[in-house]
Amino acid sequence: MNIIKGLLIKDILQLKSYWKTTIIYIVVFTLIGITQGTSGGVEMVIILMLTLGFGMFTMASFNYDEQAKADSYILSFPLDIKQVLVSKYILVISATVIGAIVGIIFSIIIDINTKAFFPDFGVLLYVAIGSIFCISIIEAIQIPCIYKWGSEKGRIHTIIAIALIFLIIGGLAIISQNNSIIFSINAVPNAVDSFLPIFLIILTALIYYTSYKFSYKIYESK
Amino acid sequence: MANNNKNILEVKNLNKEYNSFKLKDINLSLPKGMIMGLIGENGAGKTTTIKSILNLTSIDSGEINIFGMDMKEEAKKIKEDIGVVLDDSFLSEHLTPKDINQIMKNIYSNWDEDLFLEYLKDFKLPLKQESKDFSSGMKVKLKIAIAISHYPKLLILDEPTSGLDPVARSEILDIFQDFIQDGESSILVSSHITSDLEHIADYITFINDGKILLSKTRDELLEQFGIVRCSKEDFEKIDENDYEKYKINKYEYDVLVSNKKEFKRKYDFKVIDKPTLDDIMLIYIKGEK
Repeated sequence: MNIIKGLLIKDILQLKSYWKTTIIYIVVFTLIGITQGTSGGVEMVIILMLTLGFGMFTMASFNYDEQAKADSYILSFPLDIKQVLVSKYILVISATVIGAIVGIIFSIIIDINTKAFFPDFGVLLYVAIGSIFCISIIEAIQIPCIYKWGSEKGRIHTIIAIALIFLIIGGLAIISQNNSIIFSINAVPNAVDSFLPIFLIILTALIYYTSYKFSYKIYESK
Repeated sequence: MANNNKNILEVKNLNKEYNSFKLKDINLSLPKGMIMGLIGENGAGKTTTIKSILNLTSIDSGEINIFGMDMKEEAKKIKEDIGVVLDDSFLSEHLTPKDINQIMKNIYSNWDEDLFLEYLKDFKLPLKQESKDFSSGMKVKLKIAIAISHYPKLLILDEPTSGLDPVARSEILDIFQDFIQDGESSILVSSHITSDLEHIADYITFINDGKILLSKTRDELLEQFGIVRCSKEDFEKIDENDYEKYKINKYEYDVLVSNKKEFKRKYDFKVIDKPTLDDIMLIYIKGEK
């Protein structure tokens, strides 16, 4: 566990130059929220953007390692590939979750400020879980892509992969619309609806786990 | 870690092939308290050999034993007692020595924070400055300080002195000699600056085109080998089996012989020069037979 802690410290310290950017990012989105009020689901945007922002900032740690060609040096430490990968996934997942939590906190502040009554915490939590789920898909694709092709090419492959997912979802939506199949959140029974956050959490964990397995295979073969 | 074996590192029949490059039957033995210099031109296989020894790259066949343990089976345990400096790989230059100390104390169970800070002081390295602002010499000293602050028994160094001025090189060579003073620690160091190794290495292993051409003690190599400088006519009198290789220069032939005494007994050459490692390497690589 100490070794994973050491690797996490390495990544966090490497990213210190990003902390200023992160604070600016938070301030900008909070200001947008305050000036926009609560109309149009500003909380949703804030939570989603902060979750995305925090998650994506940590991806820079891959760049730093790549620039220093740190892989060989790190693997000369008394550790194995699993520990290297686990530390990266812990970093990315933690940052994503922290982003969502910061998003909730700032949404509450904005809500208190604008509505003058206590906001619906349950809704904010739903939005946060949904945001983490969405961002986990991007990260789960991006990390193995970085290990396979490097940061630069990996980013391009991630964009292509995400674009493909959107195309498939869009295509399915068009097909269902043409065949008069209507999906509505209202059609989901209440019982299932209340299980949705748990379902999303399990699905997110599965997505990260599958991504880790892919990354492991790629890293090992390298 | 008890290791009664007198060799700290043993490499047996190491083979590795990738793309068009092949490491062929590499055999090495490094005794305790000794420094082995790995020499050879760029692309000869020095870095690949080092990376194979460190289990950083997969090997096709062969055996690597360090401290009497199999590297494949006990890599984590072995690496606790190895200090590494790699030419082409390090941590991000955005980290300061202070940051690195925070990292390393979680990586090595034997990490000695006070010792590391002492080395930083000795090497005049600023604690809170990002290493991107360091000179080449400072960067190498930082790498070495990291490599020796957890009391390793073996240092594996890939081209640690390349790109350094003579003063910085000399300082670093002194550090290596201090390191082996206890008689228990050893160093495997690759370099294409052979004059450095002539000063500090006890053993010289010469790799060329993925093969070990020779592996001997430095004294054996520099005392037994010789260079006969002669005319074409004189060269033609020498039996092919009595020399290693020859190189034709503008006015003379440089003939590398591996047993100076024997050669002197057999032939009537008055002067046989004492070669440098550079001479030996050059004639082996560029010479003919």
